[in-house]
Amino acid sequence: MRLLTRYGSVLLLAALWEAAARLGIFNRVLFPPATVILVRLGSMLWEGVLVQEAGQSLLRMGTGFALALAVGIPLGMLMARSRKVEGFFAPIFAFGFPVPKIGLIPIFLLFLGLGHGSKIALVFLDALFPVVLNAFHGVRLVERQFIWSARAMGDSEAAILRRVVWPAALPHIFTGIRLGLIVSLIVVFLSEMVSAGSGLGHVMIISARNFKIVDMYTAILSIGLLGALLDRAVLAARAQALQWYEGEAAA
Amino acid sequence: MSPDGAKRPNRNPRPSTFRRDGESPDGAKRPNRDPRPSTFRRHGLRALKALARGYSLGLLLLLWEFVPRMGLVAADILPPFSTTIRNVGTLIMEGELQRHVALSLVRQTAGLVLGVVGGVTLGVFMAWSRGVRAFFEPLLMLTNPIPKAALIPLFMLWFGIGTFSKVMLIFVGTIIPVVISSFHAVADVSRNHLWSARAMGDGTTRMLLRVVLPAASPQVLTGIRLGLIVSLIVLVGSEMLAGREGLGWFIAYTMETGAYDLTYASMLTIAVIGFCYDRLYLALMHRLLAWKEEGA
Repeated sequence: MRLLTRYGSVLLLAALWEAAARLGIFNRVLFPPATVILVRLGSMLWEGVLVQEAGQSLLRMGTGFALALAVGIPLGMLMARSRKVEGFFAPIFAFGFPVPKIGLIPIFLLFLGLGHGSKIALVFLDALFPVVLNAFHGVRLVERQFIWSARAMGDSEAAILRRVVWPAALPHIFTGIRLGLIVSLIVVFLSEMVSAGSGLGHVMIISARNFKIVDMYTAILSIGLLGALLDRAVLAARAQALQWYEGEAAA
Repeated sequence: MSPDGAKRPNRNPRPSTFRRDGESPDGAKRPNRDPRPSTFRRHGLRALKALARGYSLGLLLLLWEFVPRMGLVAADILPPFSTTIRNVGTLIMEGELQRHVALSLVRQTAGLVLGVVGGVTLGVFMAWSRGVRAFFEPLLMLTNPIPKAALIPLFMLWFGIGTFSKVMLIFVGTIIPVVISSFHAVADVSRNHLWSARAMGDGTTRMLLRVVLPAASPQVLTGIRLGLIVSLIVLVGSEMLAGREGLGWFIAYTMETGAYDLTYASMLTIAVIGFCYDRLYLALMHRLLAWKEEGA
């Protein structure tokens, strides 16, 4: 019941959509009723098509995103701690950050082909920027006094990194992870639409071009659900990892 | 996607490569607390130093120039940097490039302006009225994580493949971060300021313009920067997928027809445009917020 009132406006819009489509106010071909789309979603899930295509997309996105985290978090932290590393990488990140990397997709296609490689590389590159920049700022903003205190109490550099710098920078790192996730979702589906033989993005654009409208809506709906689910997962992980921080912020 | 243009105090007293002129990798200016007197104030030297600091970019360009020249990669699939610059020049002389760039920028600007105006308005209303908030918040929560790329085929279907469909896409892509940031910004405005303004006899409109908007402006402007970056992604993506003009289309078209040297020229153009656009916006943002920085 609480869910019902909370998402009242969403349900209302869905109901209006359904009614308008059924009553013929909307063009039935362009706006199939919501229930028809839901039924199709069910049957596509049942046939396993959707799961397979979503798996392809998730494989590409997951690999690129995981690589971006594995490289980006240490790199950002290192940039914040070492002036030389910062001096080298900062101009590259400063220049590359606002560039719409999707425009560079031809380079990846030329060098890595039409398969997984080019998409993974593009996701990696695009997700890397928010991850690095937030890890950099997170470490940069750690109170110096904390580090001095830890050092005075005899902590080794490794212990300081693990027990002082890492927890203090974690909120920012999570901001970067969340932004990186959103970017990688955009990029993986976009690149699948531009060039791919599989994946949800491919299903979507092929259905649209072949005028299989219901299929297109189904693909869009599953992409939306997938995005929402992954975003929720990151938020849950953040809440779990930052219990102490949220408590402090609220106090 | 911008992690921030937010101003955070730099608590690290280590003078870094960037702090000398208060710049950081994402271009957000932070207060310069470096107490050393600057001996490099003179512009010529500063420009030189700025150039020297960007040496890694220069290194990349050198790589781009010499890897194909030395035959490590075929010049067909990676034309050297100098050749690419020359190709940009040729395209401009032919008038081809400006046409696509202008059209793309018109689409992007129209979508962005609509998104900003709509987003700020909606954000303010959501912060001020419980009813508006109850209606829009779940919608935003649901639509925010949807990758905007998923809307491209939908909008092709609804609005065709022309300029209107692209403007609508950019509008939707930018309005969401702008609404969210302005909603939070306005909701965070200190009650005391509002009460003071009220007590001094300000009406609602006056209070909105003189108290709420200035107080909320840093967060709102940061949200707009996010919107700006999303708008460029959506613009290029949607142009690549459908239509017959615009910079994104030109990139995809030259790629499909195998004119890779032109593909590289147009990719370089979009990269430079994205960078300059963001820098211009940041400059504007710092000017608008100059009063705030001085107070801090």
